[in-house]
Amino acid sequence: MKSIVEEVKENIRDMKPVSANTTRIINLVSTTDYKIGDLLKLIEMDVSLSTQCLRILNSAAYSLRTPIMSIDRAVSYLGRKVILDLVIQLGFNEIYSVPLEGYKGEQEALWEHSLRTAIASRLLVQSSSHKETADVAYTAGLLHDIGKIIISHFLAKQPSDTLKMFDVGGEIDFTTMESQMLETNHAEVGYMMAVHWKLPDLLQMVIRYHHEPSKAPTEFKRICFAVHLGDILAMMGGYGTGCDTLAYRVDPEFKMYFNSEMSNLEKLLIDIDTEFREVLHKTLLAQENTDV
Amino acid sequence: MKTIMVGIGGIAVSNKPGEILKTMGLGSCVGILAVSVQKKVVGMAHIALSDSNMSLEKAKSLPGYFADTGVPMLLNEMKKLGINGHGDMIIKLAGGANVMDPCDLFCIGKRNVLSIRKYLWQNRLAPRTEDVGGSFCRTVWVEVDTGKVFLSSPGRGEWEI
Repeated sequence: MKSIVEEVKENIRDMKPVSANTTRIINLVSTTDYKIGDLLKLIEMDVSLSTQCLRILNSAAYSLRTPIMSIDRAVSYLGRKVILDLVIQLGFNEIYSVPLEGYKGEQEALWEHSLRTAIASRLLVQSSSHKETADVAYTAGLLHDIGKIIISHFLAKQPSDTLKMFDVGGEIDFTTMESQMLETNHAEVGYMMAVHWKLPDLLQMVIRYHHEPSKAPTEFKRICFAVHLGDILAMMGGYGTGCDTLAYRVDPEFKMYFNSEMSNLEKLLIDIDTEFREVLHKTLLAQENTDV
Repeated sequence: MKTIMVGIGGIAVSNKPGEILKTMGLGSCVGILAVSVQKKVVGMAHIALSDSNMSLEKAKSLPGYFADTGVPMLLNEMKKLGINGHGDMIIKLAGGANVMDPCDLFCIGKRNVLSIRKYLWQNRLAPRTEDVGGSFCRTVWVEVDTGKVFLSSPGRGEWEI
């Protein structure tokens, strides 16, 4: 009989591969000093992505007087965050388009949680003295929970009173429960997926250590803590992925990296909420006349 | 049955038979339920933070976002439907959850509950029932017809308070 970890590995192999161009774009934007011209070239090579950029830009969300038809203008108009949202939503469609049954999550829960985490992580980094990694924190925030798509299948097979049985949120946190029940957890599985898809080392580490950033290799700790806190702030705002929402532990070592930034927690929560509402509003408007 | 959704920072009241007021995704936010079973009037506010001094701009556009502006506004909206506070309605609270934080620095949920109680007391009101705290999110709804308040949480089912 196969172990769960073996089954997980099989599931990862069976997933639709991420396109080479998506991987190239993610690799590019995970560096802190990339040139916008290099991003343009990669977007232009991707017919589906460039079409979607133009469709969104020319939708009601942006109220343009005359349509924009060139990618370079579209990219400068939409901004890097919207482009990243599109790259990841299109490139990882298989992950974000289905509900997380095992987490009792709604259809859009994983995408909305990831988006809010990305916004929170970026705002946190932006308010620190390491602003240059703000976009990297955003990308990492969008991808941190990809492992849930596979763990979800295995959680769905567990008894309905599992949360109570393990006293999740009381005695133990959700990741520990996953590990005790399945011999692995969504952070480890997400890491295996990131390795399989050859995502950059930095993203692999954030995905693996977003619940225990103090265990991350030293050079990645700061960004792992940014996403760890971003994840928590997203859940506090009511945007989790289902039955695991808030059932995670804060890693107290965060104070070594983001102590002063977290001192005005309420202000940060307001900023996250304001930006998140703006993004959702534009997405809804864009959906009125596109099929993204 | 018609369901009126109340978003973060939203306030709604109803006396229309068959209507339900509902809010989803209460993490550290707190849902205040105001219920007059006798007069079949219900109200709800989805409070995100305690103090509007954090952002007066936000408080202006969404008074229900903060406890100090949201509580008086909810009571005022209830008053418009003939409910005059103490003795005329009961108050229930739901939400105010917290992440598992050994340092207790992220306890916005706890702070929200304390702050809401304070503003209720200033209006000579106190919550009859509270389903607050813990490390899980809640959805809460209240029926105009019965005044009953229900909660649900993914993986934890549904219950009445």
